[in-house]
Amino acid sequence: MLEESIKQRIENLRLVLRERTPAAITADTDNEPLSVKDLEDVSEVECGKGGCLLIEKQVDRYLSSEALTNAAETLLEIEDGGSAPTFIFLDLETTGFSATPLFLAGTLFIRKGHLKMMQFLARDYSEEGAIIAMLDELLADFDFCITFNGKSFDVPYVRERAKYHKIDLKAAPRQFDLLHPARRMWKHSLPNCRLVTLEWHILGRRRIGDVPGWEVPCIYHDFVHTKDARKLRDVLRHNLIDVVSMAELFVSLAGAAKC
Amino acid sequence: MEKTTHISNFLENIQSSDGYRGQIAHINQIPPKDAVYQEPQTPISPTVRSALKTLGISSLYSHQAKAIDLISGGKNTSIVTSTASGKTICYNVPVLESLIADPKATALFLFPTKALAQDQLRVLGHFCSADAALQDLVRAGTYDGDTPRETRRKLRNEANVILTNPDMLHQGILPYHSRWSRFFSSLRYVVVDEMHTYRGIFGSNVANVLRRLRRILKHYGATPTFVLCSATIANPDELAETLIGDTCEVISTDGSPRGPKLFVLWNPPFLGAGSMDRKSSNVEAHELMVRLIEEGIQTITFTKARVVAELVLRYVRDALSRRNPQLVKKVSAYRAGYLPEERRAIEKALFSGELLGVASTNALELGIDVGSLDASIIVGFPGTIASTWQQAGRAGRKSDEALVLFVPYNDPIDQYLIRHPDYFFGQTPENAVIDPVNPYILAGHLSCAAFELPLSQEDEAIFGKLTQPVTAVLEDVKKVKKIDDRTYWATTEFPAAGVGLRTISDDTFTIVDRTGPESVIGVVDAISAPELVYPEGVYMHDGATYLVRELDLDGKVAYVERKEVDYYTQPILDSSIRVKAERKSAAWSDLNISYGDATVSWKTTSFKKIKFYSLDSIGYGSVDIPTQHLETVSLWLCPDKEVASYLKKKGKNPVEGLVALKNVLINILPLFVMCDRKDIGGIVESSNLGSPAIFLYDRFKGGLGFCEKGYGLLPGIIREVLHVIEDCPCESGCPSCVGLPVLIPAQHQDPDPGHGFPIPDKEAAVLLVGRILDNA
Ligand SMILES: [Zn+2]
Repeated sequence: MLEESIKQRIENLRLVLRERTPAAITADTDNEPLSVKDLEDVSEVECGKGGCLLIEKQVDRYLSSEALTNAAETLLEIEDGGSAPTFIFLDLETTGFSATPLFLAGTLFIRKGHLKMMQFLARDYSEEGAIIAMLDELLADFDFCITFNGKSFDVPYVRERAKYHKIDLKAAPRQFDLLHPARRMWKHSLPNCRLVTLEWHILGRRRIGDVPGWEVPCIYHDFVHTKDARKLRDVLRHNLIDVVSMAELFVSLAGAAKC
Repeated sequence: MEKTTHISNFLENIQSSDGYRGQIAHINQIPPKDAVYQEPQTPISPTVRSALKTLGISSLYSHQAKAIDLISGGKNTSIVTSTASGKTICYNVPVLESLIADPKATALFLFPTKALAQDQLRVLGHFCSADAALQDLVRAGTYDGDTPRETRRKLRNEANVILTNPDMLHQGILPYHSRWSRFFSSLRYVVVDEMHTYRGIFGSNVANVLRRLRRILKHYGATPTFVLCSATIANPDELAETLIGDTCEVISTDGSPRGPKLFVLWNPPFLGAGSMDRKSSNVEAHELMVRLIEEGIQTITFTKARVVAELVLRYVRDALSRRNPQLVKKVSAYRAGYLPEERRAIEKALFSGELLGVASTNALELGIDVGSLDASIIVGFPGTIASTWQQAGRAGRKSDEALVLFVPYNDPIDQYLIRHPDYFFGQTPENAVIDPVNPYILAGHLSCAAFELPLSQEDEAIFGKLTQPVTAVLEDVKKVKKIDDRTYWATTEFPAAGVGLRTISDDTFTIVDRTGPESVIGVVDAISAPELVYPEGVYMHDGATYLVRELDLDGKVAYVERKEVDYYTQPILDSSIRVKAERKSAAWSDLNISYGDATVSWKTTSFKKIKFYSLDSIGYGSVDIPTQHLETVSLWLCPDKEVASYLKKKGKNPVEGLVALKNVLINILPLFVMCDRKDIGGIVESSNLGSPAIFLYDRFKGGLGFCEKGYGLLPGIIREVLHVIEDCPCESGCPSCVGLPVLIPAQHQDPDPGHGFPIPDKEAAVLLVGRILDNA
């Protein structure tokens, strides 16, 4: 048991920290909270490192797998005598700037002629290890991993977090980072080469009602505290747009390269 | 040249010279000591043996042998021996042996400053220079705020010895530990040098950083041996064990030899018959330094402020240019604010003997290796007995005679020490107090720890019994989230950024000379800038005078121009405390005791121009720069009106009684609330409450719970105050009871023109405290 004086000091500490903590964003009380189980296309998955959620859907309506395959023939090197390379798009969402857990790994790839999206989602921080292990398993099936700025962000991030969880990564796909060819191609004609800028100028569309990237970690922390997944649904959508845009950009790059 | 006769002759000559006016108040002879050699039981490899040989070491001192045996045997060890006793050998030998035995092994060295880490990297490089194989084997580097990005990556991936500081470990290494998995998995030794600097707030923070390190190492399966080195303090065993949170063997028997040393108390003479004013202590000190240098006696002069180091240098150069111009180049100043390359050059020149004299601040008190000197002049009591012995320890070679001269200021504390040499030489060095389980400090580090790895049940063994309740508070304010049995960091904040280890920020201003093409000539920390580089003030660098033309607070630059003037300037500060909100209050005996939030403010309002040598005040200037504030927590004691009339009736000054009580409180409150004396400030003033009251405050932004804890313990503390005063054998007050050496200011003030604060009336204090206790 703690002495009375210590208890008093702990109470003082509580008061001081409360005063210093900014008030939380007021929750939306008008509508019903959403449980993570009730998200669309969601299922629970398990592996040796634990469980997490998998959101899986066919996304052929965004672009055709044929266009992607053609683009890959132009942009991805084929090893001598090898068959057409397989490839997967990857985009991560993390809970902070660096050295913080990642909570969502979004992927896009072709399976059986269809365009498929898989998102691995952690219900809380403890499920990060499971995400990494399952992502590793999935990446092992592909020759190429295509990212946007992944060479300096996504790929080292996964590697670092794997070390944190003492997971030996077995997948080692080759890297194709869209940022570098995009820069070479468009840096003189565009104000910058951020993904949203490329979407607007190259793909000709603008995101409406999307969550800004800096807000994503805050939304996730709020979700862990409240268990209300309404805003998290927006993050899943944000991540989906990211990977779809990357795929479209990949096609545009191939088109531009051919000209 | 035989130095023994040199020093003795010097003192004899000076006493028989015409100008001698009885300045020597006391001479203490510290006898010589022979070396005690010992061969370690641990076998030393031929490689290391030959490296030692190139350093000129054929046999080891007893403390080195003992340390090598303990450390190689995996025992946490702290080594508390004198400045030049070869402490680095104690850890470099076992570290190198481990690298030779296991090519994967690594070691981490921590130093309190970047400069010390760089210095020790050179020492290690020198150690290895003898042997090509050793050079290949040791891949060492400093990892701190100055390390370029690419070098950082290389060091993380390849180095086997990393030299860094606690701040970098806290903010730049531990949070990113997965990048260090190779280095941490094979970590064999953690060396914590200059352990005595880890006291008070800084020490309590570092203790927690080391706990976080142990926790991360456990994650990577490493259990290294800790080696701690320290200057003399009263409680090295306690400090070492609290810092690392584990048991530790202490080696304090010094096997290194020491020549005879004369410790002379040298009081500047009265200005004339019947005068109570004494000759300027800075002038007196420079005259001694000039004479020593002219005799070829290598001398360091320790001063209490940067400006004094510059003044002494200037005076010494002036005198030498008249008498011995060839020696002018052989003296220099050394202090914070000099550029790193400038400092390196001075250190090197001191070591090689090229420099005969250096005027320094306490910047050279730390263990930068400049070799041993012949004489040390200490101008003014540095504030602690431990610092005094550190500064005295800079003089003294292995066999030659050495000299220490203490030149006091004409202020009550310094003069008390001169009158009571038994007190001066009999005091034990201060205790180094730390409190790693202070809830406020713990809350910060548990946040960092949760960010690094989720907290679990096992962490109570590392962070102590407050782990669970403090973690619960963090969860209550939604900083962390408990999931199953683990607690995770649960916000986007980077917690290490919100936890500073030291009281003083490391934010710096650059000082730019724009006489010709602009060039950076120095730096100054942001907190000191308004006191050192205010517009129209004189900034001194390398003994030369510059006028400050502009202080750009946003751009953090001070522009100066070289201008020869015959004066220096002293800032005049205005400081105050304002109570913002009372959190708790109670009446006890004749006192009203409260604690709450307060703002301490200070500002340079004007400056005084003071003529060199004569100290004549030749004018003032006004300064218009913004006030600086410290938002903190205060504890205040306000006596009832009757108390004042009671003391007046007894013929005593009530305010003097309060000042005395405040001084004793600053001396003993730290023992009750577990902090350093420098972590607490205090003043007596009447503007807040309409009558004189004592205000104590935490010298840390937001407060750290010292005053808050003191509030609850105050009756007991006041009882202890009476014991301290009554038990003190002094007659009318001394530095151990009602008098308090100035601990914090004087950083930038020359103590010479002022006369310090009087030692308040002991009798008034006894009456005041006695009455309070009687009425309780
Ligand atoms: Zn006394």
